[in-house]
Amino acid sequence: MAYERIHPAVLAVYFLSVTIPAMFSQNPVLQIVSFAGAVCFLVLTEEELPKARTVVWMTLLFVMVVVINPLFNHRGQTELFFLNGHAITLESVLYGVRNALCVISILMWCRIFNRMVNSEKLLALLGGSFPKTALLLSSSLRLVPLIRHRAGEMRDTQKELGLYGNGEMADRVTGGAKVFSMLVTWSLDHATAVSSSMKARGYGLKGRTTYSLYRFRKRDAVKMALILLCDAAVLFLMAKGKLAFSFYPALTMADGKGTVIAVILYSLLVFAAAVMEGKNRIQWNYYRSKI
Amino acid sequence: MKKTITIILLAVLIPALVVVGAVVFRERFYAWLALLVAVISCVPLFYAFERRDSTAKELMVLAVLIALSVIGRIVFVEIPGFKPVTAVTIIVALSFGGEAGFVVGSLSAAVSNFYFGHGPWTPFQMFAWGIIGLLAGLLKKPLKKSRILLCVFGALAGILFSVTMDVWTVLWAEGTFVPKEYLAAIGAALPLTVEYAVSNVVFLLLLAGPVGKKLERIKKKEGLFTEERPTARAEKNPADIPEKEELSK
Repeated sequence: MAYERIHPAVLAVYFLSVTIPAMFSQNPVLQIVSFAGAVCFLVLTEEELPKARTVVWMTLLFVMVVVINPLFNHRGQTELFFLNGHAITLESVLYGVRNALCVISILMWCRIFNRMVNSEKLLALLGGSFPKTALLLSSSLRLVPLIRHRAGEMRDTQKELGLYGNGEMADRVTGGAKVFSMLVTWSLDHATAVSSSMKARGYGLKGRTTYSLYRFRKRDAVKMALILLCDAAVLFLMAKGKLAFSFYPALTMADGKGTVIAVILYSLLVFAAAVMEGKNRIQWNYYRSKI
Repeated sequence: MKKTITIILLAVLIPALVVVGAVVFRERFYAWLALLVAVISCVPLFYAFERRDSTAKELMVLAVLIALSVIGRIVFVEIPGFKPVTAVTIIVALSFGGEAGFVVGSLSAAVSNFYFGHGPWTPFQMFAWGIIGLLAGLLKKPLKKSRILLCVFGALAGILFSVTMDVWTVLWAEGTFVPKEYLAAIGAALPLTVEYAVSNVVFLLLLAGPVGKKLERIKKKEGLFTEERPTARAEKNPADIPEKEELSK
């Protein structure tokens, strides 16, 4: 993956630059661009097809957000029909679509960010100013699957010993409580064992540094500068009202050269990830074809 | 030196972010502001936690507790609103103090959202659960004495959580804060609020006794989170010490 070679700080700034304008602007064009960029990236990088459950869930969320707004909001001038004496307006339906696109695209970008910045990179990113918080985050992320696995083993053992069946509700609840209680004891003991090992390796001693795999190179600086430049231009144009958009009472949108430039710059930002990934793919296939 | 830089950075950065939001995100300024408040109010608390001396043991115990509350949230995923995170946060705060409660509450939100999906709501959840932990730590003396008070606090914490999340819902949908819509959102979320409150009470009644006992045991055994240990700041700042002496007189 192309993003593996990029410093996590650049990835974090990129993530913020993609999500924040779409989140805090009313303009649906930004939402559409950000949604399209996320889909492109996910299609290019996802090894297997997304699970049907994810797609269904996202569609459900989309429909829900679209439907909720016109039910509570009756502003707008184009009435579609009346429901319980309240007008359902075209504008509020479109506003619902904007909100839904926004939620879905941000969910997708968060998913992409999760993939790009794994816990090791997160540690490197936070490690400078929040080392303890970073340690807590990464170790609890590791502990969740470990403790769950342990809980499964305890439950199986308990069942095998015939200490609780899985028939009645009350039986299951007391069994679950018992496993949870053991789990707490075991995990706390596990914590003290791990911390002894950390202490033996010199955790918390003065002058001890943490090794970071990620060095901020020249190419990272170039990327960072390009992203920040794009950001500055987009935010400046937004401040000038070039991306202003209002849904009520009727759809009105700023237009002109500034708007086009702002949308183009934002699209460049959003599609940069997908383009880099695509380039990487093509290069890989090209080199492989020559073998 | 590092501390001064951080403070100057925060003093410049926060007003700058507010001004930028007011100019750039005019249409959804309140949503921006709310997100900023949620993020910024967590920063000093985490910063205080970073400044405090903590042993590897304390950190690992906190990590385990975060993991346990996240697992609880995953296990009960089928029932929306029925999550033990608040109860675990309160129990931790009662045994280990408000700071530990804050850290466990807010990081449980951050970690569990790796499973449930991160979004702009993450800072709000971190804020809400963190503050609940902090409050429980401040009120730990009366809460430890009375079961009834603990349950009342749990129910109130559920309501606080729900009401905080409704702020985000309204701001997200509307971009500006409309009191009427806020009340409507609270009304719409009423069943969920009730569920939060009830589940907190249920989990507190189930867990406060046994888990609290285990935490107290490990606290005593390993000497964790003792309050009399000098913090890094008190060591460097002798001015703090006479104050304490005055108090004892």
